[in-house]
Amino acid sequence: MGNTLRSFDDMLTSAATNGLYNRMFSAQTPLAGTTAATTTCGSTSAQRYPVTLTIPSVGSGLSGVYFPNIELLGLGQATTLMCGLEYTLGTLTVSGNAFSAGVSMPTKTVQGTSVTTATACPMLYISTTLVATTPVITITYTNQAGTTGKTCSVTLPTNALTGSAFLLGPHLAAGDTGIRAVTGISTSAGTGGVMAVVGVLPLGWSPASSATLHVQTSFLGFPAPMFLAEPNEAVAFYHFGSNSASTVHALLVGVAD
Amino acid sequence: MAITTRNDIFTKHAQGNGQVLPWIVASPSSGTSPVLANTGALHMALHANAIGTTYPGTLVSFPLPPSLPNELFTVGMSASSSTALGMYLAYFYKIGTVNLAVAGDQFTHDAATFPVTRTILGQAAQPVTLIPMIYLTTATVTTIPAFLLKTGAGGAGYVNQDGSNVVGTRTFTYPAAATAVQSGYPLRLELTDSGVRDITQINITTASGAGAATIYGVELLMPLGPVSTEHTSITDSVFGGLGMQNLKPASATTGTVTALLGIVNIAPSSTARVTDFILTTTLNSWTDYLTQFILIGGLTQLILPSLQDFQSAMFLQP
Repeated sequence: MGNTLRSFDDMLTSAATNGLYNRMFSAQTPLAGTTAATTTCGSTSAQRYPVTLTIPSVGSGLSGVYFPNIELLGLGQATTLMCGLEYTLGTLTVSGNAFSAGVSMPTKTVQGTSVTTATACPMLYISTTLVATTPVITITYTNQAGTTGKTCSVTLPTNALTGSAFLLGPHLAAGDTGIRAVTGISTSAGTGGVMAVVGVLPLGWSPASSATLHVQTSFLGFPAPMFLAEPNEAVAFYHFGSNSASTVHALLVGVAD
Repeated sequence: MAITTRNDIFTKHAQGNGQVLPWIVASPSSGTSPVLANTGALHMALHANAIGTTYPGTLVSFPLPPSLPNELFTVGMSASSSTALGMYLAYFYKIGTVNLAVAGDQFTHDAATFPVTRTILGQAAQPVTLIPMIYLTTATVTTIPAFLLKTGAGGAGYVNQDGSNVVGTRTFTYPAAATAVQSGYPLRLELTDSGVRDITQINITTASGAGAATIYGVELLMPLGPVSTEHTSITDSVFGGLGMQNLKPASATTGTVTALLGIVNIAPSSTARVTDFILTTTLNSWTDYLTQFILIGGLTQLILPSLQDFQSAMFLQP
């Protein structure tokens, strides 16, 4: 079966025939918290939870999973949460200013059209606490139109903590809104730590105005593209607006396609 | 290619033509509630980006991709809020500043020339009608300040929605001798007016012991739905009533206008309401010039009636 999203009946048929994928998920940021953004590195504080969810294999004749129902809860905090397919586009090991190439954003079928994706939510993720004093991070990338050699830079706070994530969108080159690939990352300073540029294709999100509110998201009726999550792809979870230690609990309901 | 179908929105966003924008708001920390006979019925609270903002003087706009080549349309939004009334995503265009501590003509216009303009209904550079707002940046003391939108010599003080120069006759009086910073109020216009294109002079008739304010022209973009805590609103700007707002600011007639993308909370009191939200956006692209003008003009035509109705209601003051 292809194109489960073509109709509700197709989706229901897949659910009945192939079985739904119901996945509970929980994660916690480091207890020390993370590092807040500044106007030179994203202007919105963000955290990336350290554990990701790996899409399992699917049966014969099937390609992947769509998630028509995602529920996200930030326990004990009013928050904005997001989950999405995450791709590591490039990594920098600060010691030695050593860049390692990652993957490019994938090709996905959206509304029946094969699309070369570019992330509309690029982020700089700190995977190991930096030892660096207000480093200027320069990123060389291919933009949403496929133009290579574009550059942008962000100035990070000193010694950004593990789990911190910094939005790159406001800092891209003039006229750019997305990243397809990263061909270089460098730092102006520092002796330790690891960071990565990640591209996210959002699957769901929830803003919550109180600590006891959880939100169900469905992109079925919402004007955002639903992406097919393919086996072995990673789903990462993000929290916006705080740098205190936090937890996320989620329920993802997926249907095979 | 240009946006012509809902599918275009999805594929453009997937191609990275557009961004997911999570915005966190800095909650205002002070404000003085309006007094009907003095200021009118409404307080206007200005909410800016959480990172970088220090009220009242350092205001940081919600971050957008830099140097947008074309319209960046909102296509969907999820928002949460403390109990909120009258929250709108809005552009605050800085028109100038006013000294409330000295009598006489005390308004200083910014260098940028108004009106600010957009393409509306197929015509380029059309004036945008704005809600005039006075935002207190230095608290008043000792004496309640009052002013008129006119010159001391009896000349015009503002340009109304139709482009006419108007001599204001309705005195605006602050609610208290000690009005707090971050207090915001709509300026009192003549009863037949619903908005402004420009402010040209403010005549202080009663000076305070201290006080200064910024004059903004506010362009409402979209309402941010939720009305109570523990509710989240979802807005579909494509199917849920066409309302794709253009996040690219209007342009000054000459010069560069200081434009702050933020939230205005319009309510009968100054109690701070906070909304955090996440937007999905799609970047338009121009290949068919005529098609784009019709699309953009159509959007604005849908917006204008509600905005004018709102403005008319606002300025029905005693």
